[in-house]
Amino acid sequence: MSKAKILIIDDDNDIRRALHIRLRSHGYETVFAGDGLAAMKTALKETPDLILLDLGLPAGDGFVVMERLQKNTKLSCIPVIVLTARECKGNQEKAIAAGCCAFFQKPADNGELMEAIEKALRESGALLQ
Amino acid sequence: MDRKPTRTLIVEDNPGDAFLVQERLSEGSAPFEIEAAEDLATAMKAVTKKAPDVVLLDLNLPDSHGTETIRKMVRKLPNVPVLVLTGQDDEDLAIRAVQEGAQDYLFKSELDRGHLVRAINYAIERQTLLLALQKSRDEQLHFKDQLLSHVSHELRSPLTCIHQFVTILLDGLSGPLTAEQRECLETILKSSNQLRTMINDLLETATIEAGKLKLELRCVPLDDLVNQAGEMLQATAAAKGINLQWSTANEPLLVYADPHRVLQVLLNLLENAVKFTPEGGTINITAQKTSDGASAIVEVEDTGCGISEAAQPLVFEKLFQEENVSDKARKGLGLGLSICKDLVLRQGGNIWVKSQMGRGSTFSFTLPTYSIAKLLYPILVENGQVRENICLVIMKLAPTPVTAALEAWGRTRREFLDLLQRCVLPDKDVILPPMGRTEMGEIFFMVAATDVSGAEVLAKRIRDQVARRVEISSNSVLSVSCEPLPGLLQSKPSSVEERVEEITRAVVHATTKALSQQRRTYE
Repeated sequence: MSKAKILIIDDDNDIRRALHIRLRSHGYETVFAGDGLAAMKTALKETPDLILLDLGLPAGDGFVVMERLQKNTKLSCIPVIVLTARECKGNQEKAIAAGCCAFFQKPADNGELMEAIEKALRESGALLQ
Repeated sequence: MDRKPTRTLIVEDNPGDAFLVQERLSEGSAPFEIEAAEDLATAMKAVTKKAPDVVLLDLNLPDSHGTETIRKMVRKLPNVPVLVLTGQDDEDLAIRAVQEGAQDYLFKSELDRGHLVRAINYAIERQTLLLALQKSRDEQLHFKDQLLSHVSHELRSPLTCIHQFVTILLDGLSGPLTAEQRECLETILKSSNQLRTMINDLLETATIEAGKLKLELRCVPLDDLVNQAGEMLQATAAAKGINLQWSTANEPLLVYADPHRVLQVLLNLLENAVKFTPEGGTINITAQKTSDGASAIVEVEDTGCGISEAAQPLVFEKLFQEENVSDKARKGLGLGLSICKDLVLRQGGNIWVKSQMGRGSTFSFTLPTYSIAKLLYPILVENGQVRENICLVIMKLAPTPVTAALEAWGRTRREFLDLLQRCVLPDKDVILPPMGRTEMGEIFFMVAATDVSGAEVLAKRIRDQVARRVEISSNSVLSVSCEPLPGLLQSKPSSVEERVEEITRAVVHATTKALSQQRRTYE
């Protein structure tokens, strides 16, 4: 079985690196994007199995990215997990309505985040048991 | 020099006095544009058309008397200076009017031109200064809120980084650690967690202060929240050698509150209790109805260091910190309890503490118990009218035999509730709190503002969603049925409140019936 590929979209290089190390240790392959435009380009090129998405991004924030993903038939079924420094209140409902399957405020609990990733991958059929 | 005329409104029912004022004002060189009204209603109409620069107001008019007159005028024209015209025998009333927002008062018997014009000009100047001051204060407050919110957000990013990399090291993802290295990293992690709590408190306080805190009140099973809070902190308490236990009444304890905020209060009180209770101590949480049934009361009792009598009334104040707390439990910002108090009060409850030094503390808070009518009201009533079509959706979720573990079933139940919430999120439909807990599963009720065919569509949506969720579909069997709420159309004309009561009774009747049938099926 090939490893699931996760696209990390965050404008903070250090956070991308930290997430990469953690995801790698769980056996995931990672690809990156640092802004809203690069996010779409990378998503189209790499067709990841899951997307970890920050909300505060240059060149199209997380909501814009989700909207673009939803509109693209090739990408609309990829599960998105939002990981943001913004408040839960208000943003969480908005993000879920925009199509994400889980919402985490930074700094997120690693165990819970990994569990949510695994669950989302299982439900989308990318991770077979 | 050309001066813009001062637009002056004279509100005076005595034509002689009104005439006298007009005469005085038109005597000199400074131009006045005068309008007169004999009663308050006429005055209000006039100012609605065009606001004057100043109002000369007699307090006793045919349609309004005393300080009530000034209150109404100030409310209508908060930015326009008002001068009260009064008789010499009525100075007390005039002073009260100044306290209510009038800029000055003038005796009708002393209305010479110079006096009158000077009073008007000073009043306008003072009002202008006052408004500028208020604007600057508002701007400062706004800036403070912005700053707090901005700073807190920006602090979160580097904090996230610290948290991420420390946990990477602690989890051994970058190689093995020595015991001492692990200890160092754990200290960093603990400190960064404290910092995160402080930032959250700071943001929360800024939100409350800015009046931006939004509560989403609904029916909440308080016992579930107590269980959830207890489970969340059990590991932390156990790690400190503290015995954390909780008990709730046997029946669901329903309150009308914002579940996230209640959980926040519970966690805050519990975290405090854990922080101040020494090893080997006990923390006990109870939740029950008060004797009159109007509220639910939660008590968090610890065997910690206690709070001195002098400090007890102050613990809910912002930035309060007890002097002689040892630094073992490192001080926070002193905002947590003030946030708790604000949240509880705004949900219609109360919060207090009883404590004895060296023995421990008991923090208690109340929340109003829930009534179905309160919850249903926003769905049943639209634009002041009771809706024509209301449907009750009944969902029976039974565990499959494989779901032996209670824990797995609890998770499935929560997943299902979460899914329901998502299904109704775009609409205003309401999920009634979990009311049916039978041995053989659970019944969920939902009241939807739709007819039977609309409810069928909703039911199909729920079934489809469940089929897509592995966790729920593999652990349970779902059956959904819809029924229109009986007796709505033939009921005689009655008030909205009566209709809401009537429908509420129908909901209670239908849900009780469904529950008793369910019990019978399995007995």
